[in-house]
Amino acid sequence: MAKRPRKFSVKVKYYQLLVLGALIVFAAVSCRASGQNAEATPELELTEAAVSAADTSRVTQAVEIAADEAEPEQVDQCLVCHTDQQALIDTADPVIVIESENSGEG
Amino acid sequence: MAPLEPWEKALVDGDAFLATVHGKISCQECHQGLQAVDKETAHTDLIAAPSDDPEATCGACHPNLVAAAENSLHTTLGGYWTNLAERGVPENHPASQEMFDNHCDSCHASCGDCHVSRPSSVEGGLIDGHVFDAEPSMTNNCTACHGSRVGNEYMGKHEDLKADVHFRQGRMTCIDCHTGHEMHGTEPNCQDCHDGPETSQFAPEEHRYDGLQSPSCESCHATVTAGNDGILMHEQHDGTMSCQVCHSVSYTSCDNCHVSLSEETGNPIFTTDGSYLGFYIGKNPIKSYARPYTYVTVRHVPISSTSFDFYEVGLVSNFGGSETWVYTTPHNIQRNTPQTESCASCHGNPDIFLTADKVAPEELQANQDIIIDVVPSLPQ
Repeated sequence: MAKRPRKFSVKVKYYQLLVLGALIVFAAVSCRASGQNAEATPELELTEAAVSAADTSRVTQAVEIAADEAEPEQVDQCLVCHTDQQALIDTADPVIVIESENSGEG
Repeated sequence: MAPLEPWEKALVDGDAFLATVHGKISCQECHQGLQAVDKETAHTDLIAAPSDDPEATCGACHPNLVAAAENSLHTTLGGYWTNLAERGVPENHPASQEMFDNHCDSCHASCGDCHVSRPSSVEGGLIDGHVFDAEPSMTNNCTACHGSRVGNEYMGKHEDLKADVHFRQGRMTCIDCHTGHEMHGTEPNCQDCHDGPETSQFAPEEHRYDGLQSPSCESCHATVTAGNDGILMHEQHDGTMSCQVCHSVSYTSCDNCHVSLSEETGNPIFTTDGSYLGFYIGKNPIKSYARPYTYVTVRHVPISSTSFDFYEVGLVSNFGGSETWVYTTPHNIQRNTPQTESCASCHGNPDIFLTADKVAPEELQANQDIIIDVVPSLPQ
């Protein structure tokens, strides 16, 4: 009666070790896969940099367009009107000619 | 001076102005208003002439000039009050203050009136597309206000009278003689601008001939003062008369100005008996170290004892308190004038001296220090 639990205990330990070994292997494989991804990122950046260098203007334009869409440039309405001769003519108040009521030289 | 069209007064030169330092400042920073497409909304609370409050605008970058300008006659209009006070017009008095506000205060000149637009007294208007000009324009700025006497004389607009030689041959404009120092006024403390071992202070000028002559003819014509220019008459007269006595020609005088408000429009108006040309040598009423001359040219100013009666009868309570023929420096200088033709042009010639018979009886008392009693005779 006393030996049976001992036999059972050895068997349980065996399975525990087996599971632990499997976990270690799994962890090791996972780490390796993750490490491969981390090493792959610079390669990707290098590739983008190469593309960027090859076609800077297109990228710049795209950024500018995106910025424009996000926040339109402020237009100074004062200058829009006051640099436009025709606009000033069109919006000018009517000229009221006032006859001078002074007499003699001032 | 031809008037500006309404659009001309407000047109900004986008290329030129924005390329200047002032163009880096947003419009609203000085003019307020609102960002709007329609004019009415955009002009809400608009400040058309920001430099009317120079400390809040120009003073941010030009503190010394703004501080000095507080003492400038262009700002204080001190000359008016000096002359009014001498004739008994009280300064702190409702009637005289109202008269002053209606008729004199428009002569005030702000920074912008000289550096960016025509003066407000001639209805303003941008001169150079809102570009700030360090040097004011003679015709758009200076003679816009100083036109009827100085401008017309200097540019030869009186029939049969030539323009001033400095304009006609020298092509000089006002600022060639009248420097920024003079125009802006002087800092009360010299050391605010200049390094120096001693502290000197100047009181604000009380009238245009206060203090040293600035400018003076001798600043350029130094050999005259030194007495080594080889001209006998300069040596003979040696400081007894102002340069204008020999080198000026006829200039304008005015009589009998009255100010009031129009019954029809309510606008401030004036009437004078008109102006006339003449040339008069009188005794120097402001003889001093800076102006040691015995004889000077004098001009009639149009004050009368009833000039301000519209506002209050008797406001000029001491009409005899100051001359009506005043020290003047006509801006129509010529090398050769009727006076330089011969000694007899002046000596023994009462026509060109301000003698008592040329002065109105009611003005004799006021001008007793000016009137020539004895016309200088021909030297033996």
